[in-house]
Amino acid sequence: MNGAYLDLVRAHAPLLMIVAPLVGAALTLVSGLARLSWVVACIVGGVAAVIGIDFALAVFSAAPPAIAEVGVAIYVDGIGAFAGALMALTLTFVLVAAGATLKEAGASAAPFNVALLLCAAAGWIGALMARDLAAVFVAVETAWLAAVGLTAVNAVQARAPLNGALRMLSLGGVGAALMLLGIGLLGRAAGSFEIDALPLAHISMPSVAGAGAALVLLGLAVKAGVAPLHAWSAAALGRSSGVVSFGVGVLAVLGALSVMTRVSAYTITAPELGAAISAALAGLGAVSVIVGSVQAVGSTNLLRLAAYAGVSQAGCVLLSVALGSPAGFAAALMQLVAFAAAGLALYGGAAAGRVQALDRLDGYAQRAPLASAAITAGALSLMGAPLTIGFLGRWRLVEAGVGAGWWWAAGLVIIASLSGVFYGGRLIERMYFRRANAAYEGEGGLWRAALAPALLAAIVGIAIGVAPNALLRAAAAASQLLTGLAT
Amino acid sequence: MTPEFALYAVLGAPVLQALLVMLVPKPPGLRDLIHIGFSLLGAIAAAYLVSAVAHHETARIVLAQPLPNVDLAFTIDPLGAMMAAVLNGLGVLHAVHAAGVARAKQERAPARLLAFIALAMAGVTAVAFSANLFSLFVAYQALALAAFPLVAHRGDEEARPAARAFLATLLASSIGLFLPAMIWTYAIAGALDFRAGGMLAGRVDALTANILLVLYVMGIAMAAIPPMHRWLPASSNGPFPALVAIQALAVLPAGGIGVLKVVTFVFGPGMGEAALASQLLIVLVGIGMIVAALIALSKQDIRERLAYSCMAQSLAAVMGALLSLQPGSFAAAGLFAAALQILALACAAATLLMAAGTTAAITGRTTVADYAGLGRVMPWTFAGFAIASASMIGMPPFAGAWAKLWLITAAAGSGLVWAAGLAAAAAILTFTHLGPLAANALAARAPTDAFKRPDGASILLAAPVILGSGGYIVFARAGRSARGLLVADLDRGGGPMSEQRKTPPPRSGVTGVLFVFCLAALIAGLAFDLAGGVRVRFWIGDQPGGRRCRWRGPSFCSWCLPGRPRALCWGDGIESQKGRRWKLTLNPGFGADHRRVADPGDAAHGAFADDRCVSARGVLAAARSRVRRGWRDGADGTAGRSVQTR
Amino acid sequence: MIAANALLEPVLAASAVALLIVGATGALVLTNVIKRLAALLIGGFGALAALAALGAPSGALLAGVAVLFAQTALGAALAVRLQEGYGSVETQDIDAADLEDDTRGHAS
Repeated sequence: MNGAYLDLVRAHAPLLMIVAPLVGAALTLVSGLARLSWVVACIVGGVAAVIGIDFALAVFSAAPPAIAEVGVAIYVDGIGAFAGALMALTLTFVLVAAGATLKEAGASAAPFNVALLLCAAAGWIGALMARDLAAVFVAVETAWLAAVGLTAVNAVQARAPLNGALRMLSLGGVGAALMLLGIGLLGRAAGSFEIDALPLAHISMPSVAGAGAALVLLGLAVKAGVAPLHAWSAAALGRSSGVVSFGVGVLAVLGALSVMTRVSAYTITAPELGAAISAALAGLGAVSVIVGSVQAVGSTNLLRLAAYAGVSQAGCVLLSVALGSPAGFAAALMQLVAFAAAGLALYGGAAAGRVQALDRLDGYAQRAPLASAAITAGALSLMGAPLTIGFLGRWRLVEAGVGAGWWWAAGLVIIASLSGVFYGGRLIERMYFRRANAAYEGEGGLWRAALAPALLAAIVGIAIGVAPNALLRAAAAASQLLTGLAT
Repeated sequence: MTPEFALYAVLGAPVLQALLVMLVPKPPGLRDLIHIGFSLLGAIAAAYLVSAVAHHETARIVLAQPLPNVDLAFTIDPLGAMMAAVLNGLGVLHAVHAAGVARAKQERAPARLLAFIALAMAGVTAVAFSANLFSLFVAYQALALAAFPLVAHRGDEEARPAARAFLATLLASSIGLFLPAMIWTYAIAGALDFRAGGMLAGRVDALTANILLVLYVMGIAMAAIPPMHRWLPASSNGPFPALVAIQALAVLPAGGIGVLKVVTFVFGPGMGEAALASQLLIVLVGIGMIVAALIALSKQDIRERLAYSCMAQSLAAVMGALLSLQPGSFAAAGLFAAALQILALACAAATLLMAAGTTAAITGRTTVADYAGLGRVMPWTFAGFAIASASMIGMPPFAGAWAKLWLITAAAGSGLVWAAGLAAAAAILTFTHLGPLAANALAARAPTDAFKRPDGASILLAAPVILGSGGYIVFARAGRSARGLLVADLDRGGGPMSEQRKTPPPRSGVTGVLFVFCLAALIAGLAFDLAGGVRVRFWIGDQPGGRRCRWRGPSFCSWCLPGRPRALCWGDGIESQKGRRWKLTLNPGFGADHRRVADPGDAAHGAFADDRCVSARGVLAAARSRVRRGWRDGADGTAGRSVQTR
Repeated sequence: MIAANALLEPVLAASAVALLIVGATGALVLTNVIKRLAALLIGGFGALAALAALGAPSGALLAGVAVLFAQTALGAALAVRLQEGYGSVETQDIDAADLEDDTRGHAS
């Protein structure tokens, strides 16, 4: 009996991964109470994470499961399964950590916060599993608008997030319009609006298709905060609360990068489009690495520093994707894991003490040792210190790049790591070698412990670089599985 | 004990040591015991590994496999074992000395200081035993991160920019230069494991080899090759125990070991393709040696002077390694010179820095001008200082002389006579900045106001210095064995080292020469003092005058009890106004509130108040009282009330 | 007739793209928040029109309309919050106020 239910769940796993957060969002709104909504959200997030990880393991096994037909066109490829599981897992930790910062925007806003987090996650997971490009568009915009709403709702203690939300809306809206046009052009040129048809389609108008693909990726690049399209990130994240940092800085950017990776995997492998898309992504990635690194070095705000570091990491992901090879996609997936871990570490560590300006980090190690350890781990990962997931992701990129003759990609990785030494070293020095100049301002009492799982998960995720075999195998399997599983 | 277990022990003991020291910062006695005990354990394990290697045993441990075909692995080889044994052996002395200085100078956060010293030792040991380029890279970065808190320890306005410069230089060069070279090597060789004869031998053209050599040598900034040497003078403002770790036992030697390993196992001795770059680098290194020695001469602060002096010596090791890349039969001679130079530098630098640390702790003097005559009141400390200086200069019969002799042999044999000239010039300049300093300390008139602490330097501070300098004796005696051990590793082509005839070996009887040298210096100093009417009591600790224990009945060490540490005294228990008795005074702590100050006048009568030798009853009373009062600040013996004697 | 239809399609597509470009430019360049929203709306309509001209399925068009509607609603709510928070809907005033807040935050 239990086995039958389990099989049923597995058969509907992709749909459940999308629907569960949506249902959870509705339930949290209905519950009305801050802590109750948080508990419901954590449970839902955990369920989605378990389903996602189980499904991903099944997909990468020798006998991939069959997916039930449910009316909505779902197409699960390796990248979708890997990134979907990663999104669900990250969502769980974000929701748990949000418990420590839930009431910063007021108790009445708390149910909306968790509901918007769940909606955003549902959108990104939906975009990773959708078959139709229009469905991808709807899912992406759903997630993005939820993120905008999250930013705006939490602009209570500071009004700067409102400006950030405006920029997100403006840039995101432009990106959405361009993406819509791109979908139209791509669909017209390829003769199909289904994503899995692109690699095998006979593209009658390559330039039109190329323009369409570029516009779609451009629209996604805006959401991913890739330079030079990242004008929203500093304003939205610089003075944001913990919930916004997690929801936008980690979840939204991770989701957008994942969807970009997935869409690129199909457009790059299309013979008529591959070279142009690869060049465009490589250029964008290079600019993002350099701009993000420079801005992170010059930043005096911890949240903006983390945002700019994320821009640099996004650039490395795009460089990996631009290679267009299974090794490149595997490297991109590893770097997505590294991004999630570093984001949780930095934003979680900042949220623990409500740290925004860098000088408030002075003596942080004495006030919040676990948060300091998490920030240190994040900084080491961004530096590319050996035995961290950050080093592993960059090494895989360099390995794949050198194999393809892209020696300049190795140079960019070195730039990213060098800049990580400067801004990461600054963080470590402030936390451990300066006297505290501010009292601890984090959430008091028991709820302070809500951040601990996220911080510990981040540290473990970063330290997984010591023994990454399982992750490496999963990423390799995911990158090979572009043929996917269809309903 | 198996070699694998010893390898785990030598790598893991310092890490455990650091953890325990941080967990048990008080009582300070226990903390110091842990620190010294684990250092000893590491040294024993390292010595065992030398023995294992000498018996042709092998061991390899894999701690992680982060990448396909790339392990985080450590293995024993003669070079690494020798390095680890010497550095860990000196580490024991340093551990004792660090404990003494931390107490004497009331260093802030002593537990953190000792913990990171232990981690730095773990790092350099890992560098010595690294089995491949990746492990070397990981150990190198770990060492840089572990040594960074040592530079930043004081946390003041000087320490912060120094620490930033330290970390930025080391990490940036390793990531910006060493890492690309490693990636390139991986692309060429397909793996990163060290290989005898060189991983790149026969696989690269001249251009690639030259570029790689420059990237590797410049990337290993811990060797202090200009312009990557900024970190070394920047770090010279740290506490003395940190300086010993950075300049003598961990960071600087790790740089030399790294260059040596890269040259030996990545390029291979006699790799002619890299000859051009190696010659250019030899020019750079040679000029760097001379300039560093000149800069050292201009520095009045003893820390800065020693920093540049150590830099010059480290560059000599790099020169030896680079000479091995010259084609010809003298390649292995260069490698041996480099290895011996690293070991000699470690001994010399450790001794000099410990002596300077003792001097600073006891007299508060850190400028060269203030060192005049200090040897007369701190004979043991400055005897060690003098011996170490002689080795740094390259005066026979000390270990540094043989290293330079081999260096000159390798240079001349490779046809680079100008390199030998550069090394000789650097040695002369080293003499100018160390020789007169050491001589003046021993020969000038003793200052009457030398000590800021009336009881002088304890055995914790003085003994490591003289024992460290004793390392030269060990080396001089063991040089033949060391050469035998390393010949098999470095000279595989039946070159000059196998012949053992090219350079004069260390002579037997050097112990006698050394003893005569020290005795002559001390007698000369005593003679001057007696002629000047100043009486000097000669104790095993450096003391301003005679101190004897006034005590009644047996006493015992209350070192580990809460409260100020007490002296351990034994003897016949009778204070004698007439005779002068030799007593062993183990005085680990210093009270800030000694009420009686011993002056030379007192020494003549042999009377002084010692409130640190207490009776058994007194100790028990102190313990009971402490338990009743609870823990107090300053329980590390640097503050607080003295326990009254009965 | 058929020729006229064949000519009409690219003209419609080009017009739609032009509308999109105008809207996108306005959304990025205009300083008034309400005007930005209007520009976004225009750009969105342009995208939808282009989609229709390119023969996209009706589902895609409906999805686009829904997204556009949600975007506009959110934008309107945001404009109200901006007016409440900053007392202005001009981006120059908003950016200047943020800069002032940042400076005050550093000083404190």
